[in-house]
Amino acid sequence: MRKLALYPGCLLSTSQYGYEMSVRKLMPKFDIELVDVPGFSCCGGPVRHLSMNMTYYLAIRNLAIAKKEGLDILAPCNVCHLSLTEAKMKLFGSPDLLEKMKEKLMMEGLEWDGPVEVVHPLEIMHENLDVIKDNLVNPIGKKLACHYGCHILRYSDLERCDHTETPVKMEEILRAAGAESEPYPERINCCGGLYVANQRDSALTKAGQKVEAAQFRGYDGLVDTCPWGHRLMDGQQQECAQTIGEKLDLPVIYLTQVVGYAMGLDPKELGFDLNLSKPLFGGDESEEAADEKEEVAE
Amino acid sequence: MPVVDLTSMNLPQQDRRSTINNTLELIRVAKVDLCFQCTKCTSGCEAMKLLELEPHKIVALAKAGYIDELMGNDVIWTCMVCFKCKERCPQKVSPVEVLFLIKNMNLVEGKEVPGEYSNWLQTIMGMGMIMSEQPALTKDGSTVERSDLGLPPAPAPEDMEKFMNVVMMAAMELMV
Ligand code: SF4
Ligand code: SF4
Repeated sequence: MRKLALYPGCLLSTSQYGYEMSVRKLMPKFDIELVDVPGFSCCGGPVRHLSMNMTYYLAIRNLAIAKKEGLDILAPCNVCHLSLTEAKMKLFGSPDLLEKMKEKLMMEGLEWDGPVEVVHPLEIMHENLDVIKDNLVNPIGKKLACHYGCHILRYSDLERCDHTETPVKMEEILRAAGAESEPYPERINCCGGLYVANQRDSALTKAGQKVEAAQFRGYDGLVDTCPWGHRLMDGQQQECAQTIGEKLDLPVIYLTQVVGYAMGLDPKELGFDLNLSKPLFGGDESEEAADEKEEVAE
Repeated sequence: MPVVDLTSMNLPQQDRRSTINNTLELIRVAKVDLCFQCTKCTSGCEAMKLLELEPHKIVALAKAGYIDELMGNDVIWTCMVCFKCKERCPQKVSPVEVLFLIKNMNLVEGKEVPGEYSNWLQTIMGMGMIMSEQPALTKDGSTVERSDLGLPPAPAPEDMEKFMNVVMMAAMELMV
């Protein structure tokens, strides 16, 4: 069993609980034990605009905290995953900057004892395609579109989770879970998630266009791995629809939730109730019929 | 959104230009001088499609030293951080990071930052994350807290005061 520190970052800690629940439930299926480490803060990713220096500091202090516990990090948020990886690599390549950061760490009573590995749930699932196939309880049987999210793909000077222009891992994971999934042109477009700070309408436009593309192409649902996109495309889908002047009604769901469901985990414990878009499962039936089905399943 | 005329007749600010290039060197990114204006960055820019951000022009102005003009222009706040420009630049220039550095200069010089950014910064310094814990909405319209869902308390820095001081210090200094 591999132990990893669960690094929830800002959005999982404060609002995207469904993602955190599904990560916590699913990872043990792949022989991963998640450890809660006190002391973590924001990764710095959302505030690069204000200060890259601060972003590096925030990232490196989180790495140092995990290192103190002797643990590598699981970072389910794409923005966190990039920010933590970036700080590690940049500081590694820039001894002058690293020295300055070490001084700051000392002021907080922390020390730099070398980098730790930063892992994304996408990578874990992809390493375990056989485990998913061998433990398939509910083959998904739907046609699903992937939204990768910018920060696990770019930029490739850093180690990223998949190929920058032609990623394959999400589709392969979904196929292992019994779904149909093929690449489509808009899948690596940006969701506008980081616009929420100062360009809310543009954020909703970008996210709306992502949902619209998947809906237009006839997919049954859109699967994502990043809380920044999910909170817009799922949580605020109707605002997105209004902003772009289209009718949107597409299930948007986390990859960890889909895979968890396929492997027989309880939808409630995977946080299905916290998704606000149309449900991926049971959505075509009347609500009553869906409820009945759930009761039978329970 | 006010957009300042970028075709300035002012003298370029060579000292600020050097600050940007020296910082880029420190973080191992190509200097703006290497840009040969191929516009590949702009052709894929996610914000160009929506808000007319043209990263090649940003780099051209930085290369020529018109940093004050860039700092005063709201267009620098329209980058959505997709990193496509950095990924695709044949010269290894990084328009997105040039933009960050220009905005960082704004903060250090006490200029206003738009939208939620100052809120986010204050909340980080006060509790470690960009926002406080919120109740989540469920499909049936009720609200639930983290604890209702069996999730452990969210992490936070152990010594908030020390954390705040260091973060504040890091935010208010330029790297070079
Ligand atoms: S892609 Fe690179 S070289 Fe080409 S215009 Fe943009 S920054 Fe300059
Ligand atoms: S990172 Fe910003 S400037 Fe670069 S392509 Fe994306 S939106 Fe455009």
